[in-house]
Formats: sequence, C-alpha cells, structure tokens
Amino acid sequence: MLDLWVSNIFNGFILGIIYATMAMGMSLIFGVMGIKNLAHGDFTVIGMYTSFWLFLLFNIPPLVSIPISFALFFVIGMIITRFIFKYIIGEMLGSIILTFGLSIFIENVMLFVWGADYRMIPVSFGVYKIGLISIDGKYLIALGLTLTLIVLVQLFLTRTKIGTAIRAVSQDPDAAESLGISSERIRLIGGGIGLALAGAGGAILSLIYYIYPYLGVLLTLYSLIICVFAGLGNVAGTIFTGIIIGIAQSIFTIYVTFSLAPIVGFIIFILVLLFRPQGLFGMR
Amino acid sequence: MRLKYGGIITPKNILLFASIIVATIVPYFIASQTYLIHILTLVLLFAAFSQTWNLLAGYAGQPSLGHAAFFGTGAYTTGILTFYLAFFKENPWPALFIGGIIGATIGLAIGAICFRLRGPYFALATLATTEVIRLLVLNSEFTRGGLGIVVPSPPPVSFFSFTIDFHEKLPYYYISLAIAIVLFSLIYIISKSRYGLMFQAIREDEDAAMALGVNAYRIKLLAMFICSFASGFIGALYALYITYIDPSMEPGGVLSLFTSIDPVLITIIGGAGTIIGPLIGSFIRIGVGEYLRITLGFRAGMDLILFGAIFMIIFFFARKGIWGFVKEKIIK
Repeated sequence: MLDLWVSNIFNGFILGIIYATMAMGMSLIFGVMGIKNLAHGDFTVIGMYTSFWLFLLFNIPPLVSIPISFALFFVIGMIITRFIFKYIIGEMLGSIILTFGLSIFIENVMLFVWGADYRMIPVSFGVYKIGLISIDGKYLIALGLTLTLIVLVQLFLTRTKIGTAIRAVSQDPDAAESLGISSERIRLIGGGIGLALAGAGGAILSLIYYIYPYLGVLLTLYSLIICVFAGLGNVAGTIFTGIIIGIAQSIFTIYVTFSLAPIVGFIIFILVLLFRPQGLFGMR
Repeated sequence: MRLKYGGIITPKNILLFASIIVATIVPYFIASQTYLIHILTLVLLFAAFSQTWNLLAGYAGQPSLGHAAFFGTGAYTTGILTFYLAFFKENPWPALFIGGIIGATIGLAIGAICFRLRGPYFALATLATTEVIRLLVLNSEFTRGGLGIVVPSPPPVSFFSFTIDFHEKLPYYYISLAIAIVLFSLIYIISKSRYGLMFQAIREDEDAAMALGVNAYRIKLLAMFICSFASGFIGALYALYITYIDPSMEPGGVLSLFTSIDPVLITIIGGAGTIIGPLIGSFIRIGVGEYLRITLGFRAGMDLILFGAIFMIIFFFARKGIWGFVKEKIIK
C-alpha cells in the first residue's frame, strides 16, 4: 500500500508540474494582454498531437519534438496574437466569449481530422526501481524536461531585457510605453511565449498521458484554476498550486475510479472560492 | 413594471401576430412531414434555451459556459423520476416543474458562490460544475451510469373525442411553441422593465450600478434563477421528447460540452442582448447543421468547425450578431 501511495504521489507531482507549465503560459498571456484564454488547453492538445505525429510519421523521438513544439507554437502564438488577441485586449467578457469560440473551432478541427480515438505515443524508457517504489523512466524524463523549461523561461523573464519589458507591460502598459517600450511588440512576444509554453507543455504531457481532441477543455480548466489560485506572475505559487492539484488527483484515483479524478481539481477550486476567495497566495 | 405601448396596431405587432398564427396553423397541415416538424420543434426548444443564456449573458453580462448543467439535470430529473416512480410513468408532466426547480437550485448554488466575486470565476465555475455533474452521473449506479435512461413517452390524453398521442411529433411542437412564446414574452417584458435596466447597468459597469443603488449580487441571482429554472424545465421536456438521455461526451449527451456550446453559438450568432436574436440563431444553427448532415454525410465535428468559424467572424465584424446588424444597417 505504501509503495502505491509513494509512486502515485510522485506521478501526481509530475503531472502537476506540467499543468503549472501550461498555467504559466496562460498567466503570461493574461499579464500582457488581459485575456483569459479559454483555448489554452486546446493548444496544449495540438502540441500533444504534434509530438505524436512527428513520432509516428517521421520517427522523431518525443525529446526532440519538444523544442520543435516550442518553436512552432511561438510562431503560432505570434500569429494568433497579431490577428485575434490584438482586437480583444483587456476585454473581460469579449475575451472569454471569443476564446471559447476559438476553442470550439480548434477542438472540432482536431476531431474532424484525427477522430475521437484515444492515442498514446508507443515509446518506453524502461522502469527504474528506487527502494520500495518503481518509477517509469518516462516520468523521470518528463520531470527533468519540465524543470528545465520552467527555469529557462524564468531566466528569460528576469534576466533579459525583453523579459523585463514583458513584466513591465504586465504591470502597467501605459507607464511601459512612456519609457519607450513598444507594448505592441512586447505583446507579440508575450503571446508567442505564452502559447509556446502551452505547446511545449503538451509535447511533454504526451509522454505520459493519452491524447484525444476534447482533452483541451479539462487542461484549460486546470490552467485557469491554477492561475486563479496562484495569482498573476507568482511563479512559485503557480508551481506549488499545480503540484497540489496533481497530487490530490493522483491520491484520489487510489480510492475511486480513474474517470472521476478530474473532479478533485474542481472541488478544490470551489472550496477555495468559498473559504479563501483572494486565492491561496494572498493578494488578488 | 410599466410598458410603453405605441398603440396596439403597429406594423411590428401585426407582423408578430401573423407569424404566431402561421407558426400555429401551418404545422397542423404538414404534420405528415415528421422530419420537418422534428426540426422545427428543436429550433423552438433551442431558441427558448438560448434565450435563457441571452438573459444571463446578453443582458446581465454573466457568460455561463455550462448551461448543460441546468439543462442536463432537468433532463435527468425526468429520466430518474419516470424510471423509479410509477406515478411519473403515468403522468410525467409534474416532472418538468421539478426539473426546473432542481436546475434552479444548482444555478443558485453556483451563483451564490461566484457572484460575490468579479472576473472569470463565474464562467469557470459553470464550466467546472457541468463536468463534475457529468462525471458523477457517469459513475453513479443510481443514474444508470453510461447506460443512460430510456424515458417512456407519456400516455395519450383525451379531451372529449379528441386524443393527443405523445408518440407523435406534433404535440411536442405545440408545447415547444408555447414555451418559446411564454419565455420570449417574459424576457421581453423583463428587458423593458426596471430589472432589465438593472441587468444592463450591471453588464456595462458593475461599480457604477452599485453606486446608483443596485444590489448587484441579488440582481444577478435573480437573473440566474429565471435562467436556470427555465433551462431545467426545457431540459426536462427535451428528455420526454427525445426519450433517451445519457451522460456521454458526444454531441447529444445532455450534460456534454456540446449542450453548453449551443446556446452560446446561437445567441452570439443571432444577436446577444436582443430578443429576436436567439430565434434567428437557432434557425441557422439547427437548420444549417441538419442540412450539412443530410447533404455531406455526417462526420463528427464538421458542423461545429463551420459554426466556430462563423461565430468568430460574427464576433469580429458584427458584435451585436445578425439581428443587431440588420437593425443597425437596414431598418434604420
């Protein structure tokens, strides 16, 4: 029983940290543009499919397809920002409704093109036994990749000029403009990185999770819940909340069926709304 | 509440009256065209269902992305009551009201939690609640899990020598027509009343509305109550009409995302914040959807790709939807 608990907690930990990666992207997009992107999870699913098809058609290993996804989704993110997000900057109601439409569109294109089958990348990295528990190699690799990705993005946001400009625009676009930062250009880059995090998160998630077109809704909900709880730009909070949700979900599956697992995130969400509406980490 | 009447006999009222008469009489003579009647019934039901979304999002500015939660629990109320209790097998009509009450209970619970806060919480909570309810129904023995419930048709009712057989389509058409007329009138009256103005004030600027003495929390709950009760009622009727309900994720599952998507698509395409909008949107959504299915053969997702695209185009180029566009550019 103990080994089951430990390995489940470990798996939940990794799942949670991948959710946190997606949530960081969503939080970035909200920061620079004030848009709640309800299609965020769908971009993650496209990232998963990208990695799946690259493996199946060209035999490109998932490890290589992660940087490919990142680059691809950076470009897609800039295009989406330029042609869609740009027109709904700062609109609460408008951004929710429009990105919901975008999400319907993307999901059904995926359903139409690839069908509703559940797919998984048939790849194995062996199983390692550490003490009592056995860990699938895929999970270890996913953990390493996610941490690398988070550290790199965090370094970019805090150590480079463009990263600092992105944070400045998130805090106050007008003040940033007055200091000579082109907020339009920064928004393009911010939107690009935001969706690149979604896509690369998807490519990592495809290592350990099954893929189907309507997974996007669930992933969007998780990202939103994490963003709401952690507060904007709070990287540590985002990762922490992601891990809580991932672990809670994994423990839950020990006691009830697997298909009920998504409920946990929502129950946590409702409980926090009831008792701590300012989010888990202080300020709103 | 006061209504402004500019005289009873205006071109608008004559047109309205004429179209209600046509909608009442014509289907009686084309009753043999069951497929056409079926589509018209669905158009009316979904127009009424979308009108509830219109009240909440179009007028009060609270976009619910989980309308299936109310619709689906209404449908499941009919399903469970007729499945377990003999009384409701003989006479399922009270189940419609119970469905409405249960839908409203869920709606008020979500509202009570989320309306205290601003921001995306409400949209998020409705989306999440629907998924929670769907998963619970899917995994529960009581609701027969993934098997779904077969809802028996109500027994025939006779007045004097006239018998209504509920295995036919026509009775449901007339019930849907009645529901649509009642709901459309109700929301028209509300939109012209004090409350309608309060809804719109909250939509435009909640702080300003509160500064003028509008109790935003209570007013939003009122909108939620009307909307979730009506959705539950319509869902309960839908279960009787379709005779089978299940908690699947596929199109047609009463608790699925597809059920939540439809009122959003219909209202935004037709025109959010207008009375006629949902009816126009419903004709387009159901009509074109069925047409595509007949002509191109059905492949999952096809119609929603088209409607997702139409949705975004309309959102960009005519924020007020088709009816708003017509009203602005052509009538004026």
